Amino acid sequence: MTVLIIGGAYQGKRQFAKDRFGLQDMDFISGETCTPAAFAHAKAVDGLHSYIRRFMEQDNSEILQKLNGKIVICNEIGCGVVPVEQEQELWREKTGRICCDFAKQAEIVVRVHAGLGHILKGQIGGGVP
Amino acid sequence: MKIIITGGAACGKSAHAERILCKHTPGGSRLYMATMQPFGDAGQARIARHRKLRAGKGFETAEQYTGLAYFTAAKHYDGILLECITNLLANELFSPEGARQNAVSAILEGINRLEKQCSTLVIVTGEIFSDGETYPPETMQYIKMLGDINRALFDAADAAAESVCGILIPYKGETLL
Repeated sequence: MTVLIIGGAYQGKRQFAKDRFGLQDMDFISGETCTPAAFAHAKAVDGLHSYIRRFMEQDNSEILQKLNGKIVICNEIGCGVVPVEQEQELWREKTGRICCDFAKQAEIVVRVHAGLGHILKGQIGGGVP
Repeated sequence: MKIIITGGAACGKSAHAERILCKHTPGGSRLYMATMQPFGDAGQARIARHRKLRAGKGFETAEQYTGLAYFTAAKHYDGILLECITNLLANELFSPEGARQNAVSAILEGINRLEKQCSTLVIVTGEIFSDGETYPPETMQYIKMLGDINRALFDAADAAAESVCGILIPYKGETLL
């Protein structure tokens, strides 16, 4: 199953993923620290935005292909003032484009706000989140 | 009719705005109202990307960086797409020829005039309110002004929605989106 879970920082995205998709902490790799190889083989990714920031040179299509079949958590980082530093702006742009494309290939897209999931696409089995 | 589309950076809002305008103007005349001054490589790249997105959809293009209220279209259009309020406000507030402290009323007046020059007006604005940062006073004023404009536009719009990862979340007037 391919799932995208987005939301602001500290909104309960990972807890939501664990509760609703039967995941455990050991199923996640961290986008902040993982190697590209670990990223490719993980069941679930926590922090896609951090991974993208560390591997800006990777093609979007390459990243998207690796995300297929995974449960992916990504912070929403685009709802602020345009960053002064170009590198940061490019990161924001790349993360946004990848999320738009990943949302198309995902069966389920959820936005988590204050612990509550708002389903933007698809359905999660077993009732209301 | 007036429709507002908002969203953060790179969220697919432009593509939705174009789709919605085209949906309401089948076979009709369409004007793309550009507001972004082509500064730097990143700006040029963004403009090129948007041009490509619009190609083949029958848009004429006009540019107006400030003083939207003084714009008179060559004819009455079936649809006008105004993109984007974030740029227009930056121009009005920070550029020498801008309306400065009167930026909000200048933009809202401009939109009122634009609305009279077409049957369907689709406006793209942005979400810049949630990064939790504190900026210098002039930037905070910009953020506040955009909030003021967005609230006024959402209130007056026939339909309004936010694009998130390319998925449209309707806030009002869902059938028009």
